Amino acid sequence: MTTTHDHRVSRRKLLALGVAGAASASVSSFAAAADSKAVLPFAFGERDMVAFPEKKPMIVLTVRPPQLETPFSNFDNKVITPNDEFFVRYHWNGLPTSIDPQTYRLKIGGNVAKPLELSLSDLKTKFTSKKIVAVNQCSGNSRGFFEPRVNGGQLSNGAMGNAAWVGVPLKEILKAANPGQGAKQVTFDGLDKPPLGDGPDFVKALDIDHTLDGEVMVAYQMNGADIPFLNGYPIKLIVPGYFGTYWIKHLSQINVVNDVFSGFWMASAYRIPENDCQCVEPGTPMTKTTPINKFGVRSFITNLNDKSVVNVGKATLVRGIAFDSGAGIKQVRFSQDGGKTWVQAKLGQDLGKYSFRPWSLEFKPAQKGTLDLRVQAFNAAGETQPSSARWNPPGYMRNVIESIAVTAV
Amino acid sequence: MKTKLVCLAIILFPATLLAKEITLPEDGILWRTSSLPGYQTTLANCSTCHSAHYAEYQPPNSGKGYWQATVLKMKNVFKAPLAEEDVPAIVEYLTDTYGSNRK
Repeated sequence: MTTTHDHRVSRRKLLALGVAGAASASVSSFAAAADSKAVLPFAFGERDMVAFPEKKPMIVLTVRPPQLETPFSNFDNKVITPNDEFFVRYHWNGLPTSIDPQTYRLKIGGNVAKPLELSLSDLKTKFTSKKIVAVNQCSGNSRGFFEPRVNGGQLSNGAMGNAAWVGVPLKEILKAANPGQGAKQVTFDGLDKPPLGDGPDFVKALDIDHTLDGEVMVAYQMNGADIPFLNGYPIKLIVPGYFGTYWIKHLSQINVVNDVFSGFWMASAYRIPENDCQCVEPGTPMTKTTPINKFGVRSFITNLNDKSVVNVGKATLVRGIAFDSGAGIKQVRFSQDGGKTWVQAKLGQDLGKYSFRPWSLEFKPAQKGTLDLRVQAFNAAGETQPSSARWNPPGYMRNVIESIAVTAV
Repeated sequence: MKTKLVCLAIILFPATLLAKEITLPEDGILWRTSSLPGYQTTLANCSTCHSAHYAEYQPPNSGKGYWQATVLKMKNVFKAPLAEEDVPAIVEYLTDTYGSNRK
């Protein structure tokens, strides 16, 4: 696993090209070596834990470009995911490493009557701010659990997080720019670029009606602070209920377009089967596809895991989180016998329909041996989680009823 | 004294001081060594744009078909400046090193 061959020269060259000013404030420094190790529960699941700028040690999926997963135990007993524990996902290594908030501009163009160039100060002073608590989840969250395994980023369940976002409703910005007749979609681009220039830039699109729903937002604050650099400083697109692929980081260009945008990251990547289950027979290809969109319902136990030992007959606290794409979590139920019998959990603090919803209950382990603990959430639209995992080739949207095996003594 | 210096610095370099800058870590995990010729070709080409993690963590059922499709995607879609004649050696190295034969 080691080599003496230095193949990182070109990287330094690229970084040197990317860094503009020399005299700027570095936000943190850290050792290059792994701080510790983690083992995810699937084959080839050994991972390094490394502290990136503004982050605690996180599970490294890739260093270059950065893709970091939140250790799952961090989700226990908190509704909000702290900024320094929030997952990171870049597509291209041409990401910015220096951003000057004084000169930063968000441009709005395309089919608009009044093209705009907004500074951060404009966003903060010329529009009414809005706050929304919303889960961001990577499309490929939990991909490592797909069976048969699928290629791509081999994530466990930690590529998700819940934060309070403050910013400007996109609707207000678009209203100021005044989209013209025939506007069909709006495209979003950030400062991250392909390292060699001619690869497909990471640009995403939403239907115009969606962008005007008052909930899609250009956020400049996350949990009461600046958005961490690696989560999209200084502004990020927030698309509540939708997978993270649309939450463009370092948002710099918004264009109103009259067609369905055909860029690679919409037309070829991030596609799911266009059918009711958004799935296909395991191991088979997709035929008709559509862009990935809303989350399915999910729920997790956060205070127990496969290594936990519980006592027969003793009242035992079990708790966790549930979320959906915005109908709102209505009910969470729990089983200690693999889904044969269920009991209702008590729902906790409600921070809004796009937020993690905490749940808890006490149960008395019924018998010695391995207990198959399961949790299932239902939302206000009557949607729930499937009892067996759905499968698709890109490994998106896993939301099966989770199961953990604890030992009762 | 410290405060005075900071104030002076802000007056002299107002914009640059406010820029937020990060330094990213070195790769950490490197390409697995191999005597296959595709190893050197991989170092010379793939490392320009990404770390070895992309190969390192692929599941055990990643066969030649996956690696072939991925290298071609890098070349044809992501526009990696790969020579056509280098593709087979890279695919051979990745298949042998990161697939089911992985040590």
